[in-house]
Amino acid sequence: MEMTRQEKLIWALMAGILIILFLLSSTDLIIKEKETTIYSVSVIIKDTNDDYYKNFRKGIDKAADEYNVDVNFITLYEKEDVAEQMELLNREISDGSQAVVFVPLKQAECRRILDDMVLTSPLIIMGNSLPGDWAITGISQDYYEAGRMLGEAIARENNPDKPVYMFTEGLDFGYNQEVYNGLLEEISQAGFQAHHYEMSPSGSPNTPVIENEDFFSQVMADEVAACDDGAIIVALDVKSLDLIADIIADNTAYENIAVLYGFGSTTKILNQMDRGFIKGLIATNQYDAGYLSIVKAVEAIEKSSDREQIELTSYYLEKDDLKEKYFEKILYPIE
Amino acid sequence: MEKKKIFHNQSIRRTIFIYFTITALAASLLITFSIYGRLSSQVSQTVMEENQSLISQVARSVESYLRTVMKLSDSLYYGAVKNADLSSESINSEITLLYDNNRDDVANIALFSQDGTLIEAVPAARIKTNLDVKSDSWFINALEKTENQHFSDPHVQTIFDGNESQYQWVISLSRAVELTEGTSTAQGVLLVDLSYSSLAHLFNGVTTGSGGYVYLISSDGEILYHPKMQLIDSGRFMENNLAAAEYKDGNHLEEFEGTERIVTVKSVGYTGWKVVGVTPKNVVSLNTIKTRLFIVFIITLILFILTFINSYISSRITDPIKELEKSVGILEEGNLQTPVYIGGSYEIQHLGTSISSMAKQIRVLMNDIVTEHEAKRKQEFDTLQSQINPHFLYNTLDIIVWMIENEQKAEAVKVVTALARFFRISLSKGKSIIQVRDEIEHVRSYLMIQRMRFKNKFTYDIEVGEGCEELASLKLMLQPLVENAIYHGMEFMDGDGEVIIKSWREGDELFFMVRDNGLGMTEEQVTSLFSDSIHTTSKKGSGIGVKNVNERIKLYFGEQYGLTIHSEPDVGTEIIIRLPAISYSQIIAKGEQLWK
Repeated sequence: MEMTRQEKLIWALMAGILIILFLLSSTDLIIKEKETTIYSVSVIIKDTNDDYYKNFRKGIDKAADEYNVDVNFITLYEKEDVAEQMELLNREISDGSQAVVFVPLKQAECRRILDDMVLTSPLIIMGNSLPGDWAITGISQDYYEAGRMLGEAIARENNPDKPVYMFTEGLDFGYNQEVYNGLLEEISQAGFQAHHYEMSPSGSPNTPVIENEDFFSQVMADEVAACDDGAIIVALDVKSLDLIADIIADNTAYENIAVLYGFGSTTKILNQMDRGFIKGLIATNQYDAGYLSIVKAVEAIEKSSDREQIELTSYYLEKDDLKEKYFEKILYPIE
Repeated sequence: MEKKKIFHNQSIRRTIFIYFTITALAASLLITFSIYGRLSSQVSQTVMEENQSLISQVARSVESYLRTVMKLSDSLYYGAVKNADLSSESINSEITLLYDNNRDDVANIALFSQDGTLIEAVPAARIKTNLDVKSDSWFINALEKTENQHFSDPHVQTIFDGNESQYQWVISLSRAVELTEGTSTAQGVLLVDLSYSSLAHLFNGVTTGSGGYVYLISSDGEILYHPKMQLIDSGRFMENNLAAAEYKDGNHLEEFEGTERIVTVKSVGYTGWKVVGVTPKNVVSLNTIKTRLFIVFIITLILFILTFINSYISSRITDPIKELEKSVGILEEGNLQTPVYIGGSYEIQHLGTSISSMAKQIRVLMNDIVTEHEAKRKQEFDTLQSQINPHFLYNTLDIIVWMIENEQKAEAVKVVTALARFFRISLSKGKSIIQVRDEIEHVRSYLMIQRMRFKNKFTYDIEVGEGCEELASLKLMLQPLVENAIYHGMEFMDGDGEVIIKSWREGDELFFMVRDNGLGMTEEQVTSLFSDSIHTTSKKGSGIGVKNVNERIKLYFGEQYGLTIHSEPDVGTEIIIRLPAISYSQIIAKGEQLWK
C-alpha cells in the first residue's frame, strides 16, 4: 500500500490531532485542573480587642471558608494609635498579605497617611472608598444618613424640651463625625437642645478635656442626673453606647430619667436593649459586612472586580424588633 | 447528478475510501453519542439514586434525633413532672439528671405554669425581668393543642438571664403538662430547648456531589438549616425553598436562577419537615470540558482506526485493479508481449486472465497478419522473379537470329544453351532457395548472353569460394545486381567494363560480391536504391531492383542479412551480399519457410 505525499500528510495531521486531543482530554499538560489557591488576607480593625467585631468576624470566617482565605485578624496594641495602625498595615503588606481589609481608626488621619504611602496590595476599606490606586472597594453604611435616621427616631419619640446629650469616643474616630452631622441636623431641626461629649476631644471649643472612660460617668452624674424632666442620651459609636448602657444599667437613678439611643450593636448591647436600658439603636448587618470584605478582597486579588463603594443598609431598631425573624438573624448570626 | 460530478474523475480507491469514511464517521458518531447518552442517563440515574439514599439517611438521622428529644420530653413529663406534687417536692434533680444525660443536644429544660411562671429550669436560670412568656408562640402552641409536642422554628432563646455577651440558637420543643400541687391539678408547659448546633451537626459535611448541598425546611418552606443560611438572610444567596416545600418525596428536576439542578426531597416524620438535597445538573451529566474533549477524542480515534482500515481495504481492492490497469496501459501502447497482472480478488483475477488471453489472441492474430503479409510479399517477389523482362528475351533472340543468319552456328548454339540454362534456373521448379552453384550458373549464363549482346564490351570474372557451391542461396539474387552493373554501370562507359562476382564463406556466413568498374554512384544515389520513391527498375533489366533483392534476403533469412553497397562515382560499385551459410540440403529437409 504505497501512500502519496498528500496521504502521508493527512495521516500525520490526523495522528497529530489525536495526540493533541488525548493531551487535552486525559492529561493535565494543557488543560489543568483548577487548583485550590489559598489567599492571604489581613484584617486590621481599629480596636485593641474584637469585642465589637464578633458578627463581623463570623462573616469573615464564613467567606474565608468558602474562598480559601487565610485570614490574619489583627487588633491594635495601643488604643487610638493611628500611627500604629498604619504601621500594621505596612507590616502586613510586607509580610505577604495579598489584600488588606482595613477599618480606619480615624478616617481623616488615615487618609492623609495613606496618601503618602505606596501600597502593593489592594485595600478594602470598611468605610468610604478613598481616592487613590490602593483602595479598590469601600464597604460601609451611609453614616450621615444613619445619623439622620437616629435623629428622626429621637424627634419622633421625644419632646424637644428634653436635652440631648451626645457621647462619642471622638468625632475624628471612624465615621463619628458624619453620624454626628446627620443626627445634629435632624434634632436641631426638631428643636432639640444638643450637647456633645467626647472621650478624646479633638479640640472642639465647648468640650471638657477628660481623657478616660470615667468621663462619661461623670457627665452622666453631673448633667443627666440633674434633669428631672428626663434627658435623651445618644451614643454616637458602639463603644460609647456600650459604656453608657452599662452606666444606666448599673445606676437605677437613670432608669426613669435617661432615654438611651445609640449607634452600633453587639450581643451585649442587644441584651441591654432587651432589658430596656436602650430605647433604640442603629444597626447594620455586620456579618454581611465581614463576608463581603473578604469576597471583595479575593476579587481584588484576582483582579476580577472594579473599584466600587458598597453601601450597607442601616436599620433603626427597638426592643420589639429583636424578635422579628429578619433582625434576629442578622443581629444574631448562626455560626 | 451532483454525486456523479463529485466522483467523476476520482479513482476507485478514493471513491471507496470516501464512502467508507463517511459511513465510518456516521457510525462512530451514532455509536459515541448513543453510548454517551446512555452513560449520561445512567450516571444521572445513579447519582439520583445515591442522592435519594443519602437524603433518606439524613432524614432518618433527623427523625431519630427528634424522636430522642421527644422521648426525653416524655421521660421528663411521665418520669418527673406528672407524678410529682410540686407544692411539696422539687423535681429539679430528676430534670437535671435527664438534662445531664442529654446535654449535648439540649440547651435548656424549663417548666412553666399556665400563667407563665417559671417553676423549674435546668441549667439553673431565671427569666428576664418583665418578660411574659405567654405571648411566645411555643407557649401558645403547647396550650392550644395539648395532646401534641410542638417544635418551633430555630430562634435565639432570650427568655433566660444569662451571659450577656452570648446568645444561643435553639429549636424549642414545648408540650402541655399536668401539674399537681397538693390536691389540685393545673396545666403547665414543659419547654425543652434543643441546641441548634446539634441539629446542624447532623448536616455537617453532608453534600450531594461537587457543588451539591443539603438543607432542611419546615412544612411551610421556612429554612431550618442551610449551609449558607446566614447568606440567604443577607440576600447574598438565593434558595428555592418555597418551591421545595411543594415537592413530594423523590427526585425533581428544576431550573433555579439559570441553573438546572436535581432536587431530592425526603420528609421527616411527625414534624412535616423536609430534607432537601440539591445537585447541580452539570455535575451529573458528564459535560465538563475534559469529558467533551474526551468524547471528541474517542470519535476521532474510532474514525482514525476505521479510516486506516478503510484505506487498507480500499488498497487491497484497488491495487490489483491498478496493476491490471498498468498492464492494459502497456498493452495499449502496443507491447503485447508484456505479462498481464493476474491477482487480487476472483473477479480481478478473472478479468486479468481474460485480458491476458485477449492479448495472446491479438498476438496470434497479428502474427497471422504478419505471416500472411510476408507470404503475400513472397508471392509478389516470386511473381516478379518469374517475370523476366521481355526486352532481355527479345534482344537475346535477336542475337541468336543474327548469329544464325551470319552462319555463326556454334555461337548461336552457345547463346541458346545459355538462355536455356538461364530459364531453367529461373524456374527451378518454383523454388526460391537454390544452391549457390545454380545461382552462379544462372548469373554466368546471363553474363555470357549479355556479353555477346554487348559485343564483348565488358569482361566478367566469377570466383566461387571453396565449399560455397553446396550452400543455399536466394534465386535471382545476383542477376538483378549484375544487370544493374551492366546497364547502369557500363552502358555509357568509354572503356572496357569489368564485372567481378565473388563468393566466399566466413564462419557461419556466406558472402557474395558484385563489383563493376562503371560510373559509380553518389552516396545519395546509393541510399535511393533502398527506397521505394526514387528507384525504378530498368526497362531493359529483369525488373527486379536492388531494394527488392535486399528485402527478399531479409524476408527469407532475417533482418540481419542483406546488401551493403560501396560506390564511388567514376570508380565503380561494389555490392556485398551477406547470407547465412546454410547447407542447401538442410533447407530442402526442413522446407524453405522455416528459414528465418
